[in-house]
Amino acid sequence: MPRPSASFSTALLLFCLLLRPLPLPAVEELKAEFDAVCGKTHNALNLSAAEINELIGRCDALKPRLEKLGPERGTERKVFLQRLKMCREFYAFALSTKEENCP
Amino acid sequence: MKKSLFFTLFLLLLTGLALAQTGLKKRRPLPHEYGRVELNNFSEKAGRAPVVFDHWLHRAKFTCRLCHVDIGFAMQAGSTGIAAADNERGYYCGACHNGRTSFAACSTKDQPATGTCDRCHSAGKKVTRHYDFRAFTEKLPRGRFGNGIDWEQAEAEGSITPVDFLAGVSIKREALTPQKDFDLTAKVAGMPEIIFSHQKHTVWNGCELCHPEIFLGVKKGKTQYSMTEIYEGKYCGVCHSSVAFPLIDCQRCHIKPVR
Ligand code: HEC
Ligand code: HEC
Ligand code: HEC
Ligand code: HEC
Ligand code: HEC
Ligand code: HEC
Repeated sequence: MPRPSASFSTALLLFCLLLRPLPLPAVEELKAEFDAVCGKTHNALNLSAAEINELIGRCDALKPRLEKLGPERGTERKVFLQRLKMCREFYAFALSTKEENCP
Repeated sequence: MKKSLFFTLFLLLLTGLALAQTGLKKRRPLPHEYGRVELNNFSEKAGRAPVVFDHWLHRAKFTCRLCHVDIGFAMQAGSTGIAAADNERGYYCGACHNGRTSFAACSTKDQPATGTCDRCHSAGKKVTRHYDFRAFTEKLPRGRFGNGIDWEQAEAEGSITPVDFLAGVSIKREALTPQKDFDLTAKVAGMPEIIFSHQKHTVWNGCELCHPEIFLGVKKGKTQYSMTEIYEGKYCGVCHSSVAFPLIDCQRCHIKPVR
């Protein structure tokens, strides 16, 4: 078997790299979702009940994913679970003020 | 006329009780000690002196919200469980003490006997501080209790400008929607109204720090709380007994609203 040329190997390698989906590192993806979901707390009273419910749903979906972070990501797990808890509880509070005002 | 005299006496009596109570439990902290937190969940066990954290220096530079919401420090001394590795990875103290925003925090790899470690691991040690309380606070407006500084005034006149955003940590948000302000109506007859600016507190603390952890009540006036509970460190007492102006400053909350 003749050895494949160096340029061919490089091309093959590049091709494989391109085919591979390029996921954000897992933690970065979780952080981005956290920012998107919890960046609206201060404005929560201006959102509709449906919008707040959707945000709470996304909090609940994010929680188990954060819980799965391994020991090498123990700090992120601790920090973001704590921040998520505050954020989710505040949305629940905001929702209850809506329900209180429009029975 | 009589009623207000009665109230003044009542207030004096309670102040006396309040002072006696704090006097019995522990001596009142000196201005530079007010808001000091000593952290020792892990330090001494690992052969390091406990860590001393001072609110006066940090709150002059950053909002409560930045640290207690965005960075995630708990509102009770010792309960965050900050570890050296967390700081090293750029969280908690390490969010700022990373060698860029400010001097670097813990290292779990090399353990130099340098003075940098001692700047935080300083309890019981003779460490010369870079920031001297007297010099730092000299030009700030005076307050009667706590740090002896009127922090609200200091901010209003621009002597301090606490930062509310830390790149890479804080979430980029749209502008804050102002909250309508209200006074809290006293439940006890003859008591003056209690002033409380929802708007100002939101800027300092952020909604999620107070709701629902500290104030669960959905409708204004629904949560029933008393001065006794506040003295126990609940409700307003969470902040106004250890970091914001202390409870002995009765008149700052119990004043008649301006008409
Ligand atoms: C630079 C960050 C930072 C800023 C700014 C900050 N804090 Fe803190 N605060 C902390 C840390 C760290 C602790 C200790 C947490 C722990 O031990 O788990 C703490 C603890 C507290 C505690 C508990 C104290 C005790 O003795 O139990 C209160 C109350 C508090 N902060 C209120 C405030 C208020 C009010 C402000 C704004 C005026 C503020 N903090 C600003 C970092 C900060
Ligand atoms: C939001 C950013 C921030 C956080 C979080 C923070 N600090 Fe600081 N800290 C600062 C800045 C800024 C200074 C001023 C020092 C400088 O100019 O580099 C400072 C100064 C200090 C000093 C210096 C005191 C002196 O006079 O030498 C100590 C001690 C300290 N911080 C301890 C801590 C500890 C302990 C924590 C975590 C519990 C912490 N800080 C968290 C920003 C922060
Ligand atoms: C900005 C403040 C700060 C600086 C500077 C700092 N530390 Fe820490 N360190 C902390 C805090 C906060 C803790 C947790 C305190 C506690 O509860 O015991 C800690 C804890 C530790 C612990 C306890 C073990 C553990 O796993 O948590 C060790 C060891 C440690 N630091 C080493 C160091 C060394 C070595 C240096 C100097 C290179 C250093 N630290 C500098 C703030 C600091
Ligand atoms: C310093 C703590 C603090 C902060 C920060 C804070 N609140 Fe409040 N909030 C209170 C208190 C105290 C009450 C009155 C509760 C009572 O009387 O039981 C209240 C009442 C409310 C109510 C009920 C008002 C009514 O008229 O019935 C809502 C809704 C509310 N807050 C939302 C928010 C939102 C949204 C934010 C942020 C933009 C926020 N709060 C920030 C302490 C705070
Ligand atoms: C941080 C603000 C704050 C400070 C400082 C403060 N209070 Fe209060 N006080 C309150 C609030 C809030 C209530 C509850 C009002 C209500 O809902 O009826 C209250 C209620 C009271 C009541 C009504 C009875 C009761 O127990 O609820 C008395 C009396 C009282 N305070 C006396 C004092 C005295 C005396 C001081 C000074 C030693 C003081 N307060 C300092 C906020 C404060
Ligand atoms: C999360 C912490 C926190 C809580 C809870 C809190 N405060 Fe404050 N408050 C602050 C800070 C920080 C300041 C700024 C002044 C200072 O630090 O001394 C302040 C300032 C004030 C002021 C002067 C500015 C103004 O609003 O007009 C009053 C009055 C006051 N608080 C009353 C109250 C009352 C009454 C409650 C309970 C209903 C309360 N606070 C609960 C943190 C808090």
